[in-house]
Amino acid sequence: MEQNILNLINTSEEKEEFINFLEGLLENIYKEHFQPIAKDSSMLVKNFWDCLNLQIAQRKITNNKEEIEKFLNSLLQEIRKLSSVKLTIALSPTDELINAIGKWAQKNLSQKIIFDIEVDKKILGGAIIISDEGRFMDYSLRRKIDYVFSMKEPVLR
Amino acid sequence: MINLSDFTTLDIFLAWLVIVSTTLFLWATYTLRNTNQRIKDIKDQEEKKWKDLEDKAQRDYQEILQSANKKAQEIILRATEVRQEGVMGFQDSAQKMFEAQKEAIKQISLALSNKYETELKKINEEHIKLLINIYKDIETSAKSDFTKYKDIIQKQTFDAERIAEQKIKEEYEKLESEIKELRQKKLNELNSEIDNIILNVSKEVIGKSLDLSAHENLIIEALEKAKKEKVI
Repeated sequence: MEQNILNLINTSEEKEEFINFLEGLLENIYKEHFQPIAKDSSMLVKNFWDCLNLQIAQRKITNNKEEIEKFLNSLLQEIRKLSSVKLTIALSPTDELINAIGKWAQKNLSQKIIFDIEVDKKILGGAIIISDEGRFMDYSLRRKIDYVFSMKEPVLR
Repeated sequence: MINLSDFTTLDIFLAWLVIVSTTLFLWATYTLRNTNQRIKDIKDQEEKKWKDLEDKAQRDYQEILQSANKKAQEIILRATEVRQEGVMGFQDSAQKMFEAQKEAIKQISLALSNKYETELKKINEEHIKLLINIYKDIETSAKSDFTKYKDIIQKQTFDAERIAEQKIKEEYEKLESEIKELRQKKLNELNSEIDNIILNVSKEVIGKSLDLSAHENLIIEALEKAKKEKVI
């Protein structure tokens, strides 16, 4: 069931945001009248909070703070363990792009991974991917163009 | 009253002895006084004699000194006269001797001059002869050498011409090769620059022409390749 919550996390920034949110919840779980969601909280955090409440309700532990704490701790550990892939792209990632990448990962990968996104305009397009194990692959448009030019060089001359 | 019969022999002897002794004493004293007086007289005489002698010596000395002075003055006077005479004589003699020497030197110089002139003339003639011979030798030798040098120079000129021609040819070929190499290098650089320009323009055009959807597709495509190659 946690898979639905984990599917909300696609980038390393989101991972850090969720971890901070969960740690805040755990610190204040026994406090009366605690409001975990502030007015300026992001939509992502609000979605995450909604999803958490749904999970708690489904588990029927709404009134059992100890169980909630247990559940939150378990979730926190799982989020911390998520492996990441470094993804270098040519433009600043929009929410749509991140969602599209997340959906692709969810659909095509057996294991949940998150993306550590870095922007480098020089690569023009495509992506450079570095795995958790350190494998490097350059699928950038720049490399493709360089390759084409290197192959066509004698013709150009 | 003295009674003679009371005197013994010894008394008489003693009395005699006293008288004799006194007499002797008186005689001795008298003699000694006379002797002293005589010695004193002799001393006085001696002193007087010495004084006389000294006075005499003094007088003699004065006389001798005056005599010597006088003699000396006479000698000086004479010497001065002699000197004056000598100088005059010497000057005359010297003049005469100088004239004689001058004449002699003149004669000798003349003789020597004549002799040297003759010798010099003789030497000059010999030198001229020698030089003429040397010139002749040089001329002969030069004529001979000139032919040799002419041949050598001619040969060296031909060799130098040939070497220079070869060198020029080599330099020309080297220069031609360098120019060719440089031209090729510059051409390559130009080509490379053109390629870079085309590449950069292409990149810029392609990069700018991509929309969000195209970017998304390229990223997804990259992820799929990565999956296929088991990078992720």
